[in-house]
Amino acid sequence: MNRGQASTPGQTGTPGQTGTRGQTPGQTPGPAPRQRRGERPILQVNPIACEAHGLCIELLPEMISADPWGYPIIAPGPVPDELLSLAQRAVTACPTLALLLTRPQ
Amino acid sequence: MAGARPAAGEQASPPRKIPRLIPPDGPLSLDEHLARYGAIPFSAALPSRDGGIPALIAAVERSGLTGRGGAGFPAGRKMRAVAQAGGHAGPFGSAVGTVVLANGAESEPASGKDRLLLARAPHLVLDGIALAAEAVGATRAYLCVHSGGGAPEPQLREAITLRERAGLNRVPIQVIDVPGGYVASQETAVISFLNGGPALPAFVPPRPSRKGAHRRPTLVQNVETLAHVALIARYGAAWFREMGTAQAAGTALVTVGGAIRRPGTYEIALGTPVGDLVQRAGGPAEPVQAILAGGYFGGWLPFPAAQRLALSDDGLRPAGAALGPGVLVLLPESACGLAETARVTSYLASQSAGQCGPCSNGLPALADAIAHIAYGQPAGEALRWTEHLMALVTGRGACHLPDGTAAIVASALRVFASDLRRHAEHGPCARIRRAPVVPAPADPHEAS
Repeated sequence: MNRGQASTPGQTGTPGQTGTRGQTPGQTPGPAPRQRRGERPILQVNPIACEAHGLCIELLPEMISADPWGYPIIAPGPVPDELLSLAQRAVTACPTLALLLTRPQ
Repeated sequence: MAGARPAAGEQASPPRKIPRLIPPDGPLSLDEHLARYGAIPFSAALPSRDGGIPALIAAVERSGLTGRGGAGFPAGRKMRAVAQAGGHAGPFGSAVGTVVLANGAESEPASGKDRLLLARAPHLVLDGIALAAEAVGATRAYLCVHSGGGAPEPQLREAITLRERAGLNRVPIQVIDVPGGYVASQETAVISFLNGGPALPAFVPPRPSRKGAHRRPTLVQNVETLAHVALIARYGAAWFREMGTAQAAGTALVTVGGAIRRPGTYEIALGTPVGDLVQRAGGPAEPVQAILAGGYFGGWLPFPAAQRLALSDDGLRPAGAALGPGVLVLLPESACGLAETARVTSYLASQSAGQCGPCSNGLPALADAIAHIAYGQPAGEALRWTEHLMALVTGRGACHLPDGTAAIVASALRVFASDLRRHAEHGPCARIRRAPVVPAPADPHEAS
């Protein structure tokens, strides 16, 4: 509950929170922030859909490597901002739509 | 003893000791069952007057009941998720009819507790299904069994008909015979089968609690979990916690096999030391070197050191095993732990559905690697390759088959480390010729 300095838009409260304590009542109209704290996008493979075409391994070597059978191994953790557009490109390129860029709940 | 005991159970006093689940005097008829446990407290499963979550779900949450199918997920939290996904207890009542799926297919070869429970206490399970269905706003329910594994399918259908005539089933309960195979009873596999597809695991998300059978929010619970729900509905969360520990509440069914005098299924208070259960089951039938705890997703533990460990997931996890669906197999000194693990691994590899590349390629490779360690003369590189494969398959399937396989191999390399050295120096030991102790069906299609 301790949010510290609410300086970045990524750190506002949960949607269900009601401002009973009266602090910052008019603060969060407008669109909900796209990304709350702890919800950085991650790359995920649907292992059933993946057929080891290997495009993602070519397109995003910073985060994806091949196992001995050609299937992708994804680096753990969120996708860094500077790789986000490249990750998106890899997702779009996957011929079986097996690569996913998701935000964990 | 906290007061919130539903009044419906007034004629029955709650069981104060084990057994809670399986009546010692054989299966009870419907009338005997209701006389012993009291009427089904449906009122507890209705949304609360202010439109909130039903009292039963809150009671299950307070009870600390966890899923008894192996994964140990908190049962109340799952019920709440399904009720909410269905819009149950929302402003419009139940917006979306949800589905309850009671899983009694029990594909763990060393486990027999679900079959026993369905044969000896079918009405407790059916009570649990009816109550859970009411609580999550379900419009239909399924009881999944595997008839090839000896599930008492005709008796279950008969019991359901009886209960329908007595007006006890508010939603229809259908018995479904799911195919055998280790992954076929995994929850997403059962759902795929119900939806007309093959009994194969699916990729999550979506979780079954959001979109499952018939694309509706689906509550998947093991049959033993639901039997506990039926008791919590009657006697309350505080009663449930009278046994077990603070972290692992209540009782659980555990199947004991291998080198034990009286193999079978026992109900234990969670947290009971392994040694107590071994004694209850008559003690070792011959000198024992290790225990496989938690079935094929569990792990090996050295014996007799393991006797002191508490039978619960949190008691066994630090030692590298788990309680899982409640399985203990005692490995006698006359058997080779590496060879047993090699057989289990090759069984598990044979059970890969072939859907995910890392599993369908990695598990056979891992099975070969551990077979080489058990039956060949393993050099250091064999061990390194095995460890590499374990890391490669973990977390890379749609279901947890690769993770479980890697975990049991990892525990074998740890617990049978001295055998490993002996095999490396002198080649395989004579004990590899002993008849198998851990059940591992040779023909995948016969797997129960």
